[in-house]
Amino acid sequence: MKFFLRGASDSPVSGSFVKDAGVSLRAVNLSYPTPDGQVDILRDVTVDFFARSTAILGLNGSGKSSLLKLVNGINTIRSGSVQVGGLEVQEHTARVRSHVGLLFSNPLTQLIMPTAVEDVELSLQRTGLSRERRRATALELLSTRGVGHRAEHSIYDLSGGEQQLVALTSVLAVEPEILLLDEPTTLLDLRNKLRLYALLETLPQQLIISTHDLDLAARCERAVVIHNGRVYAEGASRSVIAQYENWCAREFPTQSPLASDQGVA
Amino acid sequence: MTGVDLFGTYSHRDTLIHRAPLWYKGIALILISFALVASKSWVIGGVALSAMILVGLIGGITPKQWLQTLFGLKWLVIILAAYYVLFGSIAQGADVLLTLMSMVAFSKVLLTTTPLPRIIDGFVRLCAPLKIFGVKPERIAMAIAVMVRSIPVIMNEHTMISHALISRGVKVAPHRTFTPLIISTVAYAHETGEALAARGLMDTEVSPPASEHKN
Repeated sequence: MKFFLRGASDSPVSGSFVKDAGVSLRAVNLSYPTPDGQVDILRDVTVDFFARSTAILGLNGSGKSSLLKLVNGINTIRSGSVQVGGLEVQEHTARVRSHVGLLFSNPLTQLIMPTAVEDVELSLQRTGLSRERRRATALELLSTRGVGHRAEHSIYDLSGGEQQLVALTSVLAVEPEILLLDEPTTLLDLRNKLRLYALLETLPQQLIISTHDLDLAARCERAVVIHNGRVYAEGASRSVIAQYENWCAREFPTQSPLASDQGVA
Repeated sequence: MTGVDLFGTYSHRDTLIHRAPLWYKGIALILISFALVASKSWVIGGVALSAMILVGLIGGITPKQWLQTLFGLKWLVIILAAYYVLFGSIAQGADVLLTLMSMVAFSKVLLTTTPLPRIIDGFVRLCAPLKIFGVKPERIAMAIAVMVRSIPVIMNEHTMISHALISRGVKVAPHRTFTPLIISTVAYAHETGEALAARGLMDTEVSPPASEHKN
C-alpha cells in the first residue's frame, strides 16, 4: 500500500517532532577532510522522503550511507538543511535521534553489550525505566522478534541473522518513528534475508534503506539513486531500479538527469 | 584463542560466585589490589592467582578456559620476563607478572559471573558522590562498558590479522601485526562512536518510549 505523509513545509511548533513530516534535505553539501583537502561526498542534494519505504541505491562510495547518517545527525553538513519530523537535525540532534533509529550493516558494530538482553536493556536506559522494568521489557521485545531463547547468550554465539535481529530489537526498543537501515542484508544468508524482508513489511516505522540488494529495493515503494554524491533518479521503485540497472550495465551519465537534483521519494 | 576467552563474557549459571552480591566482589577486588600492590613478594601474587583460578573454577570457568586465558598473555609474559631477566631480578619479574595475571584472572571471574549491567550499576552507585563535582556517573559507567566490550574485540581483531598473515604464508610477529591492529582499532573506535551516537547513548536528554509521548 502506497501512502504519503504530510509535507515538511507544514511547519511544526518550534522544537516538537511532527510524526508525519517525513525527511527533507535541501541543497545539502557534505564533505570530509582528508590530508589532500576536502572530499565532496554529497553535492547540492535536495530530496524528500515521505513514502513508507524508500530504497537508496548507488555504487560503493556514492554517498548512500553518508546520506543516511545525515538523517540521524551523525554526519554534519557543510551547507544546506536536513529536516526530520519538521526539526532541523543540526539544531535538535538529540530530539531527532530519539525518533530516528539506525541499523548498521554489521550488527557487531552496533551491539555494545556482551549479551543480547543486556544490549536491549542499554537502549532502554535513556527511557528512564527502572532496572527491573528494563530487563522485563528487553526480554519481552527479544521474544517478540523470535530471539528470546538467545537472550542470555553472548552476542558472539549468535548467528549472523540472530545478531541482526538483536540489533534491530535494540534499535526498535525505543520505538522510533523513522528507521534507517544501512545495507541490512549484506551479511545475511538467503533464509535470514527473507525473514528480514517479511519483518520489515510488518513494521509501522517509515523505512529508509541504503542497499545493494535489488530484491529488497523492489519491495520498497520508492527508490532514489545516488551517484557521485548527486541524486540521479527518484520515483517508484520498479522504474528507478530498471534505470539503475541500465546505468550499471552501461555507463552513468556525466551529469545528473535531474537537473535541479530535486525529488520526492 | 579469541579475545573473548581472555577476559571472558557473562555466563548465565547458578553458582555460589554468581549469587555473591556485587559488593562482596568489590571488597575482594580492593583487598586483593592492596595486598598485591603492598607486597613485594611473588608468593602473594602466586597465592592470589591460585585463589582466583579456584574461585573461577567454582564459578564455572573450565580448566581449558583458564589455559586459554593464560596462553593469551604469552607475549606480555615473554616481553616482561625478558625485561626483568636482563634489567631487574627474577623475583621482581615474577612479582610483577603474577600481579598482572592475578588482576586479569580477577577480571575474568568478575565478568564471567556478573552481568555487565550490574557492574555498571555498581559503578554508578560508587561514583554517585562525584556528582557534586559535575561528574556524570552514567558517562563513566558507559565508558567502562565500552572499554570492557572493546578488549575482546581488539583481541579478536589481532587473531584475524594473525590468521590473514598465516593464510598468506607469512610468519606472525608483533612488528607485522602492530600497524594493521592500530588501524583496525581506530576504525573500531570510530564505528563504536557512531553506534553510540546513533542509539542516542551519548545524548543527555532522557527520552521516554515514543508510545508514551507521541505528538
